[in-house]
Amino acid sequence: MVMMDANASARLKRRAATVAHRVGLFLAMLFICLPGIWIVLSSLRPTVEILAKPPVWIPQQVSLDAYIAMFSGVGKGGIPVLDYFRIR
Amino acid sequence: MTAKRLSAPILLLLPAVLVLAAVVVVPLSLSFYSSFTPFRLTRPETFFTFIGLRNYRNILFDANFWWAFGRTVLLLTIALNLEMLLGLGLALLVEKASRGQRLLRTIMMFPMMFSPILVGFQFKFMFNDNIGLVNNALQSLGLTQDAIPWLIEGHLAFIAISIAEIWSSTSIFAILILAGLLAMPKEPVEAARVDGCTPWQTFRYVTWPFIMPFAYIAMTIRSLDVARAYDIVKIMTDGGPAGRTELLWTLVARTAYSDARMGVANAMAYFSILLSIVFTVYFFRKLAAARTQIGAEW
Repeated sequence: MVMMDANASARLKRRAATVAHRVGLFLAMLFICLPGIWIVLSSLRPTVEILAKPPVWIPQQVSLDAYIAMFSGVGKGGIPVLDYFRIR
Repeated sequence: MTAKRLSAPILLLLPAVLVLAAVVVVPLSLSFYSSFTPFRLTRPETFFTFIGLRNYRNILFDANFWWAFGRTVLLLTIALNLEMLLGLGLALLVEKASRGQRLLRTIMMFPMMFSPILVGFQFKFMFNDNIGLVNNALQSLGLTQDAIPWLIEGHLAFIAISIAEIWSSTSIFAILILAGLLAMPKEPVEAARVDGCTPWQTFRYVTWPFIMPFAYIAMTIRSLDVARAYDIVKIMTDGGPAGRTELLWTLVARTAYSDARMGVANAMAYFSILLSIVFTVYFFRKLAAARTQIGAEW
């Protein structure tokens, strides 16, 4: 009987340790990822929403405008990568 | 044929030596020489006025310089200690994970993929007193009612910079210590467990000595990094408010380019390098001691 109790309590302890480990790992990873997640989310929405107060986490209007602008050349927010390789 | 010919080894080394001399030795000696002149970028002829050690004497009595020096040492202490603790914790957590360790390692490296300039911009946005994420989180959790001026008040700005620095570089510690943990032989730990050590004793007297060399390598790399901290500070506060977060290299850059006083700036720079040298020598001593303790063969 006593033996059983010791086993059960040991199992409980191990279980608690596993849960604590997972929670700690999750929190650490969340802290590491948050700034990056924010960048990815910002890339998918209009500027108004990025600068909104209080912050909007889940994009209300998802738009790929930023990505389209990136590839549509100088003057529209793009980087003139091809122009760098032009001789004249 | 009386002319003496250069021997083959010297001839073969010559290209490398010439290139090194051109790109390293000449610029270094020029800047070292200019630290003994009152060289101003706006008056090139001052480059040829030799004034001996006057620049060095002036910076030794310059309160601004010593404040920047002290602040750099403080940032170094805070950042290195916290990064060490957090990195150790992170490495232990990841090492204990039974599944998905590869994925966790990749996520752990995430902050290292950002350039320091981007980290500066990102944290500048997060610590913004009006629309920043940190203030909004604190307010919606009900911890404070008013907007905390993170980047506007001197001490808070220093804390904000430390947090950005720690976020971006804890993973260097974590990855090196994790490497140590994975390279460590498993037998001593098992032996300790059989001998009835508590988990804390196992960690303190068996695991810790094994990963200490790795921790010191990380410390050396990071102490050099933080001692020349420039980009994050430049973006987040630019040494402001009123010079309260001015570090050594932001001060050097400001003196050299904004004030155009190249001679003084070079003197400051050569003096600051002493700091890095002292830390490197100290950590290398510790590293050698830690390696002898575990009888490392590498």
